[in-house]
Amino acid sequence: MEHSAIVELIRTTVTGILGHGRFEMREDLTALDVEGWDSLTHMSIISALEAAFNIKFKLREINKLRNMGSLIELIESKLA
Amino acid sequence: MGLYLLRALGFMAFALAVYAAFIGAWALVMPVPLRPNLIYLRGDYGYTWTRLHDLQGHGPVDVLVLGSSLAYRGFDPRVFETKGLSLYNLGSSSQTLLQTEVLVDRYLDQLDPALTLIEVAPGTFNEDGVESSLDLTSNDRVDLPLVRMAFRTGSIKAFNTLIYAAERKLTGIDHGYSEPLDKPGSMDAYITGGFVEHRQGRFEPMSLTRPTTGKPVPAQARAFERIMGHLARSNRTVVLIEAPVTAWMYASYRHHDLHAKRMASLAAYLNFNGMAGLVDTVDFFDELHLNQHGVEVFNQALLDSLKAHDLLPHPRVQP
Amino acid sequence: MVFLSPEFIGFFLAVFLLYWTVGAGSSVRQNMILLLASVLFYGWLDLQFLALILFSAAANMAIGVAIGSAGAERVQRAWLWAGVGLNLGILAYFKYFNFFHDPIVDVLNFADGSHSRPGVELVLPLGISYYTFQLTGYLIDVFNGVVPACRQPLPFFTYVLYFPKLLAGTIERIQRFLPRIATARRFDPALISDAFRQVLWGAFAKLVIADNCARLADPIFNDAGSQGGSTLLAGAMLYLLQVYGDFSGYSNMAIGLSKMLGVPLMANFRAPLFATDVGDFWRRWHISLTTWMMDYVFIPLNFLFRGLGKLGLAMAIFITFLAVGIWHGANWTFVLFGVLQGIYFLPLAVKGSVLRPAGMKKGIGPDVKRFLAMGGIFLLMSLTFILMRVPSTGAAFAFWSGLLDRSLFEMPVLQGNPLALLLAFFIGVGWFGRSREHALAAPARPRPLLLRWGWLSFILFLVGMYSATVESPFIYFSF
Repeated sequence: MEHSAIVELIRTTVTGILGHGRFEMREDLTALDVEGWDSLTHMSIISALEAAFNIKFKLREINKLRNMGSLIELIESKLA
Repeated sequence: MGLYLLRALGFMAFALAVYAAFIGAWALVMPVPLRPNLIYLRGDYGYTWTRLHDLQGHGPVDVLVLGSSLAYRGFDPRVFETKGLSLYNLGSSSQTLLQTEVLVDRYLDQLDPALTLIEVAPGTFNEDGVESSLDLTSNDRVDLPLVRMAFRTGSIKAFNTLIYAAERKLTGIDHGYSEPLDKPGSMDAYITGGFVEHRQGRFEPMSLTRPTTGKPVPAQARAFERIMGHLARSNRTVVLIEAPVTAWMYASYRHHDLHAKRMASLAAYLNFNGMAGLVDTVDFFDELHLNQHGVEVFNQALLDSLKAHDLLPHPRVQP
Repeated sequence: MVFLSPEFIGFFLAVFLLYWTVGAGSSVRQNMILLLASVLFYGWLDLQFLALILFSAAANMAIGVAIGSAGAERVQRAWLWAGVGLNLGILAYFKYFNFFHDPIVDVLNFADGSHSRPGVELVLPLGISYYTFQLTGYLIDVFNGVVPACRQPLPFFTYVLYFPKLLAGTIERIQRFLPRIATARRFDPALISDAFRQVLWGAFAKLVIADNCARLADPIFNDAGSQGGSTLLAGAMLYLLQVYGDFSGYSNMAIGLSKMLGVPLMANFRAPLFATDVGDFWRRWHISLTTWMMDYVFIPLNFLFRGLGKLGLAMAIFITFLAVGIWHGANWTFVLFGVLQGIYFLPLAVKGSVLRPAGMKKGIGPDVKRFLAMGGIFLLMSLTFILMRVPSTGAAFAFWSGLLDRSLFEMPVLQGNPLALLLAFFIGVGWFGRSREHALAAPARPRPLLLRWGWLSFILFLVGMYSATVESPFIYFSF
């Protein structure tokens, strides 16, 4: 999958869970910057991303996520 | 940091002044239930005010008595007078060794007794001494021994009352006050020389439960050591007395033998519990205190016993 | 209480002066002073278990290094489980042995009546619930790569034994704590003045509020069977205020003392009396425990159950609160406490607003709706927190059924006492300081010196005038 396609699929998945798209897909975007992205919706987003990309995360991988950049990187490494 | 500590000291001085001001204000404005840690007991109970103010200008005595209500209700100067001995009773309500120490510091030299009797009930060593510290603070002068005592009880009540008593002394508000000696509803009569007489009343044990004694309070043991040291340094003859309580009460004392052993190791020690001639229901008015008949029996036995142990002083030649 | 005893004050003063003179300018010297003071402090209070906490710290440090150095995840995982097993094993042995043992004996007794209860009354090592949680969290974080394994004994032991938080928390995270002691702390007059205010407010909450509430609540709980409904209700509310005054008071003192040494700890209470829903309450109450539970119990469970949707969420919440309950101690009342809190959360979970952060609005008073919500939460928590006070679940049910009585609408039987005024003062000051770190924290716009000093002196006076003079021990030391 292309980098831009991955970014776009993440964007649509997150938008689907949060019910809005009021965020920019910057590398340094963190959950705190996004309305409604809290610890609770976080897990729904993770779960939805797993379904969308057909991958499985580990908890320690989730715990290490710092921002959107590291999320994209993680997904790319899973798909590679 | 030095500058900051200086500032902290400044705050402490300021806070103390504000604190003292509020103590005075609360005493003026607040009803008693709304100022629980400020308890002022001038002339409240046990004639402490009269006993201590009668001492002004009082000359030397033969016998000095110290201790709790067992002391001021138990040693009658009139009985000693029959042997030509003068006695001053410095017992006070709930007095513990922390207060005894203050009284010894204040009055020993003035009264210059040939014999000092300290009433030592085992329970006294287990009390925090707060109640009596309030009594003493409210009814006598404010001086260094009193401040030390407040620190040693470690009770905020003792401090608050101390501040308030000092304020009253500074304003002279108690000048000319004399305690009414007739207290309504009371069977007590104050007798010159510090004694309080209780003529009527019989002990009836039925419904009472015996109080349990607490744990030893280290501050009391330390105060006791200092008192004994002070008396020894000034070459005083000291006798530790366990004044009689009812047999019913005495039976509840635990580890009494330990107490007795300790007392006997420190000075001459006489225990009058279980002495012949005292009957719970005849000679006591409650579980702890002798009525007048009991006092006379006990004091006679005490004089005999002191004499037998060669502890009774010769009457001082009156000038 | 320990922090207000003359011995501790003398000890702290000595540490304070040594720390800011001999220790000044060197993090190593400062940390050595802190560690030495902490060992002395622990030894003074609980000499027999000093070896245990030192052993726990050493073992966890070694396991942390082992996790950090292992290449394969399998090996890391094995070390993690060994460490978690060790920590929880020690905790379970001391805290829960009787709990798990007794029912077995009861069953055996029921069978033939010959098995006696075990004679061992295990004494709880001081602070064990708090330091084992800190160490367990540390190992999980090392495993997850959130923090590197700590290889320096001095900061690590200082983190575990640090005396201001040793008795009853805060449950600090190593990644917040270590950076604060990594460099030399500078003497900051503003921080130390703030620390003094925080300790003073803590002392007020403990000595004036908690101890006086206890005086009224104790006789009600000790003779709950013969009390009317309204008196029981008053008792329940007083007990919640007692626990709050007690534990927030302790926390403010601990945090304040630590600040005096230049080490700010995390907040533990944030005006929980003004919470407007159950989730809000738990974000404000015993924060260092609830965030710990969030990170190390709730999130892993939520992750595990993520495929189950709302059911998974509900299960995660439920188990987390069960853990919060059991953390308090080995008694079925604590289990029931956890179960009830889990149940209160379910509507929020379904609505999806469990973690919505609630802002505190500015202004003089709350609007009517918020005021009613606060009252409702206070009532609900009062009725639930009695589980921390009653001896058994049976007694709890008796207490609740005692409430449902016509006597609920009579005047409660309470002794005359200035407590109502003091509570009004406590809650009022708490309300105006609700969005600050603690209620006495200086407002953004500084007031004139005399006003500030006068205000603090007045609170000092209130402590002196209204402290309950027969002390009761801190509730949270036994948890």
